Amino acid sequence: MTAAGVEEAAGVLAGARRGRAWRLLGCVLALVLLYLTWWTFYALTHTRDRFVQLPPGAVASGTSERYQLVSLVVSHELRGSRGPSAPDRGALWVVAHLRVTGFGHPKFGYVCRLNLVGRHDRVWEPQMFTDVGRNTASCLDAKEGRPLVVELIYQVPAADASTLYGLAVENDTAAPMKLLVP
Amino acid sequence: MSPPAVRLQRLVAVLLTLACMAVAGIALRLTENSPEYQTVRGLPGHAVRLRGGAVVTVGSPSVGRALLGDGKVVVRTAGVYVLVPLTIEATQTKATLSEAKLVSGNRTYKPFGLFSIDCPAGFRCVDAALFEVDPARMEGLAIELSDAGVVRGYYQLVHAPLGITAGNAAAWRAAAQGRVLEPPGEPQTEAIP
Repeated sequence: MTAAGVEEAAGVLAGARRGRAWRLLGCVLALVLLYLTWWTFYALTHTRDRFVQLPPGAVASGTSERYQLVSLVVSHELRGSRGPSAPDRGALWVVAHLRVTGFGHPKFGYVCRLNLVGRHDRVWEPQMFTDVGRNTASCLDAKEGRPLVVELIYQVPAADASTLYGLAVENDTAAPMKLLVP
Repeated sequence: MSPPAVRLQRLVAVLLTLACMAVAGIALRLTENSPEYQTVRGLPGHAVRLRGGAVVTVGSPSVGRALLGDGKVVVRTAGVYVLVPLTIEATQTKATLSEAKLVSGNRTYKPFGLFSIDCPAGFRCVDAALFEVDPARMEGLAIELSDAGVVRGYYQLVHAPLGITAGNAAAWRAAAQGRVLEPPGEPQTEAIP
């Protein structure tokens, strides 16, 4: 081979190497882009609570309890042994009766404080105290394997009362929470 | 490839590596010094909207030298009590204000007593934050509110000056004399119409 031929062959080889380097760079950038897209999608869809509605009357399990929503009633007034109580202005009471069956031996007792979920992922926690004297069972009375009906009371804006989706059973996973429907 | 071209390529690679390291170093330094919150500026009587649909309104403050409890004066101060009315509307999901402080220059005052407002979704909650401040350093007082909890990410901080300036601080001190304030109780809630 002549000197010119050798130089030409070396040029072709260098060109092929450059082409391979560019293709490798393209592959790396594509992988980085794919990873960023996937991570952004996952973060957007998993950094907020997600719910899935169960059929009416279905039972869902928490960490140490099985729940079944017996009734969900919206009311303008809450009655108890100490008389009636009106909700805040523009709001309504929502009274839920929940059948709870404990299983296992949770360290801090059974949990019955399920949140009420409405449209646009609005969530309401049950009232800690009501001063009307409702004589209903407490979750503290729950015994392993013995169903107990407890009452949970919520206050929601009147505009949301017709679009309530159910009571959310929390779990320790990233899976959507199950929504109990009466 | 000829030796000068190879040398040039290596030089470019080294320069590019150095440039990347310099950019990374500058970015790291900039992010280290940047605050972990976004300041949202407000004014008494003007609502500010935060992420998640919370609308916060700081009301006009009241000042006094004593606090009322069960209809009688229960505590007096040599300083000045500043009571700042707050309204928070949870227009989308639950809204929380977990931290409040009054700042003036390099001084920071924590609330007098506990402070936390949890406003359920769709409700308007009216509450107040109470502070005890040095009467000699009232000018420039501003309230700062945030939803930053124990575990905090990048959060928003409402910064609202209370309108106490060097020119009117004496009037505010005079207004506090002999005035008794009622400390905040349970927040008043109502559904947003």
